[in-house]
Amino acid sequence: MASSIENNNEKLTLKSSDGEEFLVEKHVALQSTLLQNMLDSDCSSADVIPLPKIDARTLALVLGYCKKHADASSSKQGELNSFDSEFLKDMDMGALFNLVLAANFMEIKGLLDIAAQKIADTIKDKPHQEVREIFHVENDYTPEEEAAVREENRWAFEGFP
Amino acid sequence: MSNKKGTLRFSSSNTCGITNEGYLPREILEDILTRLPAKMVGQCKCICKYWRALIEEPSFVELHHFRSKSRPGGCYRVIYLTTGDFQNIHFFSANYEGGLAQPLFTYLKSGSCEVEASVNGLLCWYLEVSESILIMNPTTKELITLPPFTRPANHVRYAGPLVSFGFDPSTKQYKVLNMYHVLKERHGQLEHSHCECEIFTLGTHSWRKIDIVPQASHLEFGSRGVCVGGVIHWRNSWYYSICSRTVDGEVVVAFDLKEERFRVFSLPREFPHTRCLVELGGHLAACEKSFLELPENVPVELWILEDYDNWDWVKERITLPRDIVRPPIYTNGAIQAGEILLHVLLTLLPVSTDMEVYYYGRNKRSLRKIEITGLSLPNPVYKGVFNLVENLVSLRDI
Repeated sequence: MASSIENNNEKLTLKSSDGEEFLVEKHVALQSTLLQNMLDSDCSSADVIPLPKIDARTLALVLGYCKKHADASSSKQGELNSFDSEFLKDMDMGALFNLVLAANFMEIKGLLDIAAQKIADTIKDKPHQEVREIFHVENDYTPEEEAAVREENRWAFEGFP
Repeated sequence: MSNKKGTLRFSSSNTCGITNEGYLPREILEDILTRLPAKMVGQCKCICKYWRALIEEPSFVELHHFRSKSRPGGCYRVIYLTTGDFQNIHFFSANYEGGLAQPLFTYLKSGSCEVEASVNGLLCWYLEVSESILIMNPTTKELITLPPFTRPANHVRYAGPLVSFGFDPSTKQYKVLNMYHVLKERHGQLEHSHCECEIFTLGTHSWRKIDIVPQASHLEFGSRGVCVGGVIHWRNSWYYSICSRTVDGEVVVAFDLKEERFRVFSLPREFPHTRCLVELGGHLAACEKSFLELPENVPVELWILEDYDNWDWVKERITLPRDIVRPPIYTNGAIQAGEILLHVLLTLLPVSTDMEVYYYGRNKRSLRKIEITGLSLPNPVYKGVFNLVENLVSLRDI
């Protein structure tokens, strides 16, 4: 880790799937385990690191999160928590999905946690058909099969209309 | 994608869930859905076949249970009562913070019943009339009856069955242990002869005999076992002493569920005379119980096994509110948040549809009162209160 301390002020360049380049301070990039491993394994920071699965809009959000968390000291947990909830507050489902995919790919555990939790909280009270649309899945049960699954899991529907 | 689960079977052409994965990788979908309350997850099985198969995977069930320990609403109370004639058992559930209880489950014409243990949100109980051991998952209201166990030969006198229930995290197996203390008469008095012990692994079909059981006659153990870290622990039970012989109380008997072997540990000299061991935040603990009236504001002792490997107990003192001082204090389980549940001996409670329990929080060293209402039953007899964590495990698929 000595090298990463020496090179604390270094910057590296990330490139989004739609070709936009982001100049990032190294200590911010280290919030991502993926980038940390790449830097540790001798990937020169002079190179441009392509992130072919992440578009510019999402990458900007991800880097905003990383910067806040890299700059805040551990004593400011309360401040970080309110930043986290504010960060996701009015985000639409599409953006949340992109964010959770990016956090998963870049291995940013904290971001993955809050984005997955936000999605879970959002779908909690939604009707099944709406949940299917959000997740882009189709109901592949026949009506009889769906009724059978419902019956087998009657406990889960008791107390619900 | 696996389609082995459940009792429903669809033709194979319909079950290749790979066509219905949506655009999230499996691990992210799992991450999101394991954050939902158990009821929501159960409902989500109707979304599509892929989701149902994912939700029924053991890894999903395990992660969901783990997350429920810290999720608001993931922990809840189960209170069980019988009617005054001891004919029917009624289970109610209530939120962790108390409030109005909901009827959960009723078992009719059960006769006398003892809930013996709870592990991972499951309850194990013994019904005297039918001589059967049952496992219940209150989350899904699933109930299974274990195959009949062996009783000691007819001509001997014995105490039992003494039923214990545990989970071994290394093999992920649930096991039930059943013990009999066989007695013999000597100089006109009953004495301990030996233990007979059988074990049942959930998912198998028969009981197996455990041959090596501690022989020492003073080791009267077997009821109210507490499972911590894959080991069931019993306090030597002077309270239940069945023999005239004085019981040496300073031991804990332990049964390792993986190795299926007993061990005996000594306890510190001044250890409280309680038969109740409890789990507190993953540690073995014991709470002193007063059978005598205590003067006001005399603290009771809570002992916690902080360092299991070195068998190092630490002692904390709790000062109880006035109204809980006089009757014995019962403790029943604890949750990961590090709170311990205390209540007065339930049979001493006045007949009422409400009850009060207390949580002692280790971190804040404070006691708080929780009120549970709506336990409406004619002439109820309180039997027990348990802290449970939601678990989606299907007992038939273990």
